[in-house]
Amino acid sequence: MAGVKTHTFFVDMTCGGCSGAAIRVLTKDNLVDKGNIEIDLDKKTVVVKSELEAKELEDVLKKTGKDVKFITQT
Amino acid sequence: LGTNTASTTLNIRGMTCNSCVKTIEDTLGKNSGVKMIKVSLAEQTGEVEYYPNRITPQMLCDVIEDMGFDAFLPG
Repeated sequence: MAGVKTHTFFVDMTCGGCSGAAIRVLTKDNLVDKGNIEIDLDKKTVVVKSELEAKELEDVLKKTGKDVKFITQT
Repeated sequence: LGTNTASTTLNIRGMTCNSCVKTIEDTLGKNSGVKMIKVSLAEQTGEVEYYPNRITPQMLCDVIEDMGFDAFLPG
């Protein structure tokens, strides 16, 4: 897939339910495939492999009502 | 301005801790169509007092679904 980047976000998730919500908003209308999402509850990070721009992914993650900050994109 | 309110109890799935409850209450609380919301983690429900001329129970479910949780009307 051309232009796929790995985006890392800080998302203030505190439990499984919150990370489940983050996965659900990302996979809604199959925006991102579940296999391209990695969540680390301890580090409170969400790593997404996608062609979408970081800004768009950030806006989607913000729908969870959680504090979201863009960290890196490789 | 229609200040009469109606209330409904929605079923909410996907919450597993109080911070999920608080997030839903905060987000819905800020919605202009919502007067009061009380979410029960134990019951997996959300009791919402709303302004029927501004928002409908189905729209309330859509807002919750938009957040990444599942919500559906009772019955």
